[in-house]
Amino acid sequence: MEEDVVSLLQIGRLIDVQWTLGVAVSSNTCKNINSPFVAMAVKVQDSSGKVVSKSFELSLMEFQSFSRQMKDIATVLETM
Amino acid sequence: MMMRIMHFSFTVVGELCHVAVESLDNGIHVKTQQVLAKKYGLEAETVHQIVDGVLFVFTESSKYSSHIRSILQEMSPVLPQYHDLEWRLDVQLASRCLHHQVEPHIMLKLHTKEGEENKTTIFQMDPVNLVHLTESLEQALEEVKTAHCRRILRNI
Amino acid sequence: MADENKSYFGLLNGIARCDYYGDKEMTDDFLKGELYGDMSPDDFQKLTTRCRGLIKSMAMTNMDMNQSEVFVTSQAKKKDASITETQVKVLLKFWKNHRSKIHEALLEKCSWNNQLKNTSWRIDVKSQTKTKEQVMEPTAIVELVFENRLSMGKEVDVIQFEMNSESLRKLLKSVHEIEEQIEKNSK
Repeated sequence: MEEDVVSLLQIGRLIDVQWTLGVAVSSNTCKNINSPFVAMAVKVQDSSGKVVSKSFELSLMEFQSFSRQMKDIATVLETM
Repeated sequence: MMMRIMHFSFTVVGELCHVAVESLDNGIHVKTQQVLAKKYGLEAETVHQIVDGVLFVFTESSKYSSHIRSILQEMSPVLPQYHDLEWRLDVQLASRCLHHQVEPHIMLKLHTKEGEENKTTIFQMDPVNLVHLTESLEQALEEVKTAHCRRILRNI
Repeated sequence: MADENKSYFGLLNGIARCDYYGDKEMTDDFLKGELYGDMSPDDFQKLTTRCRGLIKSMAMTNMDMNQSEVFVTSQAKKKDASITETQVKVLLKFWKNHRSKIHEALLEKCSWNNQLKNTSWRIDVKSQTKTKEQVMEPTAIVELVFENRLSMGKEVDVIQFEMNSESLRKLLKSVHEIEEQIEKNSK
């Protein structure tokens, strides 16, 4: 019973990360958009085995912010 | 069978046409046709054939009659209509995944309208498929032009 | 700035707000009422069509100030020109102010994937049983908030996951690889 409660409260684990670095070259409204982006896809598996995936696109600035946060986590974990 | 109609008086032909048009709204009524057949001393099957024939003529010439055309339109399936197409061309520089594409690929956003409802569909194409799609659409365009020409020639 | 130029400038700004920044209140009727009350509706429509065409052309190739100056002055010299000589300066001033913003708006318009709106995290210490011993293992709990750019109501979706040192190490490896590639392609 206690185990069931615990598994309900358990948050999923990150099981996969895929990424692509690309450039949006042009569109029907602009011939030279020339905007680099990072496309990412993350997969999270919960304790029941269900997998949820999410894909998203980051501008370079958004990616830098994300990367900084991940490094911050690492720094804190290291000191523990 | 068209020869047969020519033997009838205008009244009879008029009534048969009336029945044909009514059948568009209400469906083919066997009883009505039987009554007509009896009235003019015809076989029921003859009346049925003539009504069918008249309907065929109406359908063919429906392009000239907005009433019949609107009825026929109501009978055909309602499909969403093209509204707009947006696209974006991406090039991939690097990737950690199974779908690393060396070629550029095109993402498309198709806007359709179904009455008041607006819908968008996002999909992706590689250059080869884009060439296929363009060729198909150009073929369709060619057909439109030809049918149009044929219709114009027929009406001269 | 003369009154006519003021109205022209106002019109360009209004069109930018309507067509590119999503300000639905900047309708043609509103702009006409505010800026060109005395103009005939036909003439006003001609004017807005010309303005839209010029802005669209400059935005299509993201013209810099030199390119736009060459473009606009050549347009003014044409027979049946879409812009007068006095309007040229006004349009260029407008373009200088709005060029980047319009480019951003066009990029936004063709971004159809989910956007990462927020990242937050905390550290939990989990008690794990490893080889008959209780080990306290620090775990990072991460929450990512996404916005669906396609949905009308800008739907929000949240994903949470936990990472131990090992899985964080793997994630950071990907992050480093991406940074290397960005660096490599920036040269």
